[in-house]
Amino acid sequence: MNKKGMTRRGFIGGLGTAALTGAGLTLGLGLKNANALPAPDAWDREVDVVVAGTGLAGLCAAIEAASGGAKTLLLDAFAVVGGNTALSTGWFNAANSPIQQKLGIKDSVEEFYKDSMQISEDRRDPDLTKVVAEQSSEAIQWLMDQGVNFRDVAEPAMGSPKPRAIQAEGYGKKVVETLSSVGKQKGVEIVTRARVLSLYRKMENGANRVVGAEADMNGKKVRIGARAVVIATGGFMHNKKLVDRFLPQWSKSLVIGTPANVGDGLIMADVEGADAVNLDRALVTPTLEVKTKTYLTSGALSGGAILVNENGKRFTNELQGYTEVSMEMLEQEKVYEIMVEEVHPKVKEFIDKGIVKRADNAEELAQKIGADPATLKQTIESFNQATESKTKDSFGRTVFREKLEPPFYFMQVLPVLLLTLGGLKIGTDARVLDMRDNAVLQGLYSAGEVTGGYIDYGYRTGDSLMFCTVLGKIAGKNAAEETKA
Amino acid sequence: MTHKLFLKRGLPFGTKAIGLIFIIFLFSLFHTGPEEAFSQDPTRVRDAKPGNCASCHKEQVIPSAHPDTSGMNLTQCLSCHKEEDPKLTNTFPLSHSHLLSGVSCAGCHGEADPPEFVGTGTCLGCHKTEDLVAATKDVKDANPHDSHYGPELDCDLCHHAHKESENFCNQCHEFDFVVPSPIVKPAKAVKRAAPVKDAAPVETAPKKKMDRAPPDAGKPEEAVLNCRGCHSAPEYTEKFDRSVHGLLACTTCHTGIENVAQHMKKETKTELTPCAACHSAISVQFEDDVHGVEAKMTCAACHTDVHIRMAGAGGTKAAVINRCTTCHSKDQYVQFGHAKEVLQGNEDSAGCSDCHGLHDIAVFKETIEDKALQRESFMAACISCHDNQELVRRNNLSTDIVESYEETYHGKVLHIGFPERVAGCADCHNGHNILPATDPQSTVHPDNLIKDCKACHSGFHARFVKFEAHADYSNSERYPVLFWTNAFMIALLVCVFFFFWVHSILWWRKAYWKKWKDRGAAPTEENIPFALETVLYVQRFSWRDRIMHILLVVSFFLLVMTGFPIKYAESAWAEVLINLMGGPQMTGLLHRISAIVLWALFLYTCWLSLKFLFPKRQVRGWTKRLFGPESLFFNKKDWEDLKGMFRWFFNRGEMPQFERWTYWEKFDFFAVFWGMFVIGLSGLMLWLPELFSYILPGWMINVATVAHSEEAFLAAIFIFTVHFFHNHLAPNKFPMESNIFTGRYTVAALKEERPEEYERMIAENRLASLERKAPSVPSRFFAAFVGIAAVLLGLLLTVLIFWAALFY
Repeated sequence: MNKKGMTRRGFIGGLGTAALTGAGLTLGLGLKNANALPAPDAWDREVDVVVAGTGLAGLCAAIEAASGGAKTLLLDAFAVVGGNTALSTGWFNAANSPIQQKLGIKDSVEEFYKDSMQISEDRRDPDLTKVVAEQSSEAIQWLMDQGVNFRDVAEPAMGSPKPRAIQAEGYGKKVVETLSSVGKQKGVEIVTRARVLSLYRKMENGANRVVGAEADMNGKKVRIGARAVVIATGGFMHNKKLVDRFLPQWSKSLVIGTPANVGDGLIMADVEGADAVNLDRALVTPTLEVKTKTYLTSGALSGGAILVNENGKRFTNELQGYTEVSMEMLEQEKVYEIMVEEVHPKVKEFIDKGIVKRADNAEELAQKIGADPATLKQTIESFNQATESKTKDSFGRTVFREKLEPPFYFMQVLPVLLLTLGGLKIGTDARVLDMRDNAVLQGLYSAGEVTGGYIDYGYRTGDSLMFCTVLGKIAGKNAAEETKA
Repeated sequence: MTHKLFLKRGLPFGTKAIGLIFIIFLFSLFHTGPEEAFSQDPTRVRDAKPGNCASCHKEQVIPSAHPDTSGMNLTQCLSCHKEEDPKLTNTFPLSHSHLLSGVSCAGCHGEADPPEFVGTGTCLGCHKTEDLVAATKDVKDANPHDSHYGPELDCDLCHHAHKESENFCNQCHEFDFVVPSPIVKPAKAVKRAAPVKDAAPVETAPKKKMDRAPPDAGKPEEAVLNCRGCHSAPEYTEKFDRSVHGLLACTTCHTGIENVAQHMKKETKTELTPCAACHSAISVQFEDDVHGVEAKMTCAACHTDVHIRMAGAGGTKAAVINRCTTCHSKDQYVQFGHAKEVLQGNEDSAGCSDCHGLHDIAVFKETIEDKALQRESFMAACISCHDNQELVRRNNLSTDIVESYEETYHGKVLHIGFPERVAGCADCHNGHNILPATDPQSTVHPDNLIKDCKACHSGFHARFVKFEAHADYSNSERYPVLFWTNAFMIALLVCVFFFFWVHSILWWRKAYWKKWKDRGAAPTEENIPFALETVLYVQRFSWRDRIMHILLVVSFFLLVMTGFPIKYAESAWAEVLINLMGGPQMTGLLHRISAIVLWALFLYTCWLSLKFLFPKRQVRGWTKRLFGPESLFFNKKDWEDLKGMFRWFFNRGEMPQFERWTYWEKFDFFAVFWGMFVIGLSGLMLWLPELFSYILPGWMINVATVAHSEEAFLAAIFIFTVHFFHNHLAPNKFPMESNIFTGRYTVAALKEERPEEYERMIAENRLASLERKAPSVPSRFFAAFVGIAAVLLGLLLTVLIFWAALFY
């Protein structure tokens, strides 16, 4: 990176184009007070590194910062540690990791890089993609060193030609538990209900540097002095305004994920002049039960479940891809997922909890979803015919497994926003960058869902957690270095 | 204790008016502070008792119809509230379910001040994570204790100890389950939880038969259905369902039925859950109730309707009377009076429980202390209605019955803390079947009064009962003698004080004005006494006079200090002074001893006066002696002197040339004569009322009370203001005139104060025979000490008297 620290503000100042205000060049979030806070005269408390966000990226950054000798404060706006990672199923996408080596799977960094670029039609940031490919194996080893256990399974998930998806035992919540206790052992102070609101900056040696952050801790404004700040605050899926602006196609979909993901990091860095990429990308999956907001894996659709609308008609190839199915679902008034128990092991659990409802025959089902019985019967019959013949049906569906036979189970579903994929532009050293790829503030790093660039088209299972681990570690390491300077 | 029962009363208007002249400006100094803001938030009280809502909550937090919760435990709550009842479980902060389960504030917060922080670690000290997970495993939708965040979340995310708990999950989900359900009991042994101090629910369920926890209500619906197969009478079915206990299962109270078949064969013994299991507050009261203590009765003896009792039923006074008279004689207790009124539908009238209480009917023994307690407690009941002006007007009753009683000797003595010695309401009116005095059957009918009085008094004439136990001084029609006595006394007070206070103020002004005018003026021949005259002493008072005065001072102060606490029985200082005097009994004794001393002095003075008028039984020339210069009787010169003084006050002439006794000194002397006539005689009557009934009718006791009281005020305040002015505060006397104690003063003083006497002595050539040595140091010291002490004490008493007269 540009060590001279040509910041955007310095650049603008040099040009003397006063008309280019901060808000004009940035994300255009419409912030009136687009100015970082100048450093205060006194701090309420002082640490070396502040990490905002306790998801996987934040936890990795905090552990690495503490390992680098920095006094580290890890904050989370929510009451519970773990962010979206705690809710995840714990899949990591890696090549040549100890697990793959153990299973005898041959793979290479170059192949991983090549496949990644290919699946996204070369839209991924090549530098970030290269770093992740190079460090994925090392990252898994590192996680194992911290005490995270992985199942001895590797799957070629979603368009990946090699089995690169490996799963942590106990899902994401176990990963979070393990890493936060490691962090605590290493001296990381973890505070929940502590929302980082803005950054403090100061001119040092001709460059702007982050010198701390202001946090709302349990309702009290606290000024924290720090040599480095890592923004790992997650996406903005729960910020309706930002979703409406950047993801209007999904503004009618449901949202799951930690409620604290309201784009705090994005906004505070934007104020400083940070650039952002891919804000219009999101990971949306089709089948969230609308009332209890419980997500049924898309595996049920692969197993033979169908989606019908309020008229009892199918309207799409349920397996054509999350985005496309979800877009079509939003065209319908209501969408029901109809299944039999055998389509996926999870269904049993949903039956027990009463999340999916039972209908003993097609008439009862039609009555319960308010559709015309004849139409619904026709829909089911034609789907069963296709299943039997294993031929491509009129919607282009080619994968079939279970036939739909009574008793039926059903639930009303809506597409759900799982992740926002775009975010702050960062370099391979995890620095937050401006539009000219210069560091926005010295000492300001970012990692995780709040950043963009790595994932574009072609989301593969495990992409997100791997990205969080690799870049989180880099951010933490570099943040610790800042304190030594 | 007593003075709380009585309303604060003032004196008749006249006395107040006099005091008002003194300190009216003080009123402007008083103002009331703003009312304290009413806080809606509960204040957390460290040792709050379980179920005692009011210890923390200022406002009503549970419905007023809800049974008393004090001392309840959670099991009892849940015997009515179903486990999933959102009213109890959803809005119930965790601290409440802990308190009700025997875990005190200190059980979680520790004993330290400020209280220790309570985190999830504290919760896990008693609750095991696995048990919590297991307890909610069947919760619909999701197990909140084993969610996608795992089993070890911060408890406080959902369960708040000091505010309504919340469903944390519902930030994202829409789950229907209720948070928290306070029925999960800690699985591990309770490590820290100390029992609630002196009010652990189990402990409050009192004594042997009640210390068993009530049975779990279980599943009421099923149990009830089983029982009703046989017990199908309406009182166990539809009537029971509508009753206040309708929420309970049969087996809530009837325990021990494990097996229905055995029960039907009567092989098992059924037991009853003590009522105290739920009604613990009442049962605690009932422990001291006469029915429980003496008659060993149980709840069911009166409450025969537990299966059909409707909410609000039995709450009327008539219902109580009917219940009580199933055992107690109707004729004896409820034939007339209060109870009859109640039964005729007047809810204003008193039913049994209004005076006796319901579950806390006290046991009184035949001791003096208990009699006094009984008298006081029943009087409080009488007063609570008969002093309620709205109520008595509504019922056409006397409006001043309480006030007038309190003005009598009975009322005042009772008030000051002597309830064992005087008559209270029921002593004359009887406790039951109370009738108006006009009714021949009434205990206070004139024909029956002798019996009432005889209960305490003996050896009186029949006219003794003419005493008015509720005398009203302001009622000129019913009590003309009383009214006019009171009016006369007040008129006397007003006149005397008006004259002498004006006289004193004018004197003061004149004297200081003169002093002020003469300041710095060259001494003239007139105002410089001969040096010799300032060191030459002559006798003014003999030993006899001086001793008499000291005895007078002592007895007078004692009388004031022992009498006024009775007069102002309601005042703040009355009880203090009584205790200072050695208690009510000693106070009475001192008052009477002092009265005897004063009487002796008075009679001796009378004897001396006779001796003065008729020396050696010589009658001739007594008028000359009576009006002569040595006499204390008023004569023509006094009238001239009085006029002369007023001329002097207004700078219209010189100060009169006084003789041996000035007119105000003569007034002092005669005031005692008048005073002894009024106060001494009335005092004797009050002391020996029965004896006087052979001479005077009973209502003269009322007259004596008024006279004694008002004259006491006159005497005390006159001495403490006017007499003190003349001898202590007057400019030429300040700080005190000591010759009443030393017996002698200088010739210069004699010449200045009593020039005519001086001239007369010179003329009669007696001055030399009266010459004395200067008073010794001890005698001067004694004079100063006694004098100053008396003045200070007198002024203090004046303040106390005015304080009481104006503010009580």
